[in-house]
Amino acid sequence: MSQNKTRYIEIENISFGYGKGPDLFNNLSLGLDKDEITVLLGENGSGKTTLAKLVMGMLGPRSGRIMLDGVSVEDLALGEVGMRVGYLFQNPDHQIFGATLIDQLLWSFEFLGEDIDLAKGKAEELIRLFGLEGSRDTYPYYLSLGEKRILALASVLMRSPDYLILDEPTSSLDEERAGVLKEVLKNLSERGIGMLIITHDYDFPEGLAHRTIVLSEGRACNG
Amino acid sequence: MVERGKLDPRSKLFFVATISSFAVGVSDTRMLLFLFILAALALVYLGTGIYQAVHRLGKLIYVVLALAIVQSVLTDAGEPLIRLMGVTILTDYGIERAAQFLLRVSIIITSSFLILTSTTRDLIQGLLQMKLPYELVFMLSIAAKFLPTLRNEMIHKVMAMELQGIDLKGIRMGKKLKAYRYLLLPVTVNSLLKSRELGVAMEMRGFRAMETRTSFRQLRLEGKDYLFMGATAATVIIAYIIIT
Repeated sequence: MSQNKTRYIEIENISFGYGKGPDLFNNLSLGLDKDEITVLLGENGSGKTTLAKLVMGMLGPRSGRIMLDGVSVEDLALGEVGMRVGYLFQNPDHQIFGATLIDQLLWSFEFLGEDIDLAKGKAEELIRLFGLEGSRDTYPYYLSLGEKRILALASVLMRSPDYLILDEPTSSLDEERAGVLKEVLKNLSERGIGMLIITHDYDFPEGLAHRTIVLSEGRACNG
Repeated sequence: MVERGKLDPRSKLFFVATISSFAVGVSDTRMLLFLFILAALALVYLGTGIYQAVHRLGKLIYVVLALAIVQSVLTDAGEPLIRLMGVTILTDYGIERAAQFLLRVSIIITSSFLILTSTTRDLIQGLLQMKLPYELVFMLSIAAKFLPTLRNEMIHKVMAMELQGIDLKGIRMGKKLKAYRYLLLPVTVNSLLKSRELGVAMEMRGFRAMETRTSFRQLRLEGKDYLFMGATAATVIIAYIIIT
């Protein structure tokens, strides 16, 4: 791994722990690029989701810093990070706001007074791509967990981010949908969108991941 | 000597009920001040500091202060202190009313924090032994346990919203209300769905299957509890007689 290259996301010597608890990470450093798919593995409680939240600026490190495209995440508002890095929460319920599928995909565009017609086209495309046409009029909370996850991912993709952080994207997905997801991610990667995939599914990253990192005892090791 | 924090929850409830009832009933500022000091002392003695109590109140404290100001202005009674273009803005009675309001709210909140020095399990058992219906007590316990989950969900939803580029702090009030609609609707629906699932899970574990329920754990009022309740009642009544 080249040490001189400036990466899209640079995690520099961060330490973090919850509340007054011990450090979950101590001096952790990691670089993530836009031209690669990185898979993050690790045992339950090893800090994979915490690391993702730190990168997104949802948590602040005790020491060290995280740079996003050369700017410290601490200096950016959550919205500014969210526009560049799309984050799929581990629990898709957190990301569901709309009363229908289309509403869910368009609500933020409408709220922010952005071009709805353009967004509508993209929303329809995503609904088709992920095979959600049959649930078009269903209230999103009545969808299955897998469908909610796909819908939350579609909402993230609506914003055309430069980078994606996906927390357990295949959890509760059937084989067919996982296959579609894999194709979509491969396609996005070919279009220059980098991603960090947090998963316990060891089969999913096969043929997709450029790099595997294992998080263990607060350290990141190349897998 | 009363062991800190180890009182029976029923004696704490007695303290809260006595102090709060007097706080609502009396309109003497000195008596209210006395009740506040008593509640604060009990809180400190039983293991929770005033600072933690204030900290837990968070932004609610500004609402209380704003209400106190509303209580004090535009009251005609009393000696006028500030007049503007012939209109009485502030009187000494207005100030006294605001002080009383602040004290009343502080007494109720401070004494309520005393309950937090007991575990939820003990508190529920205490309420059950006070012959409150089991279903009602169980609902209270579920609600108490559900609050942190709800809070966590709200925090994550707000973050998810902000990640979509919506700066909740920076938008106008009208927009903010619209944003809250997007926040609250799914949270409410999700809570209802969760409660339905919880109901089914409870019934599957035999909730209300038998007419009577017994508890393995039993609370017993001890000498220190009777001492605490007696001292509370005596102190408040004597103070009331002397002060008023």
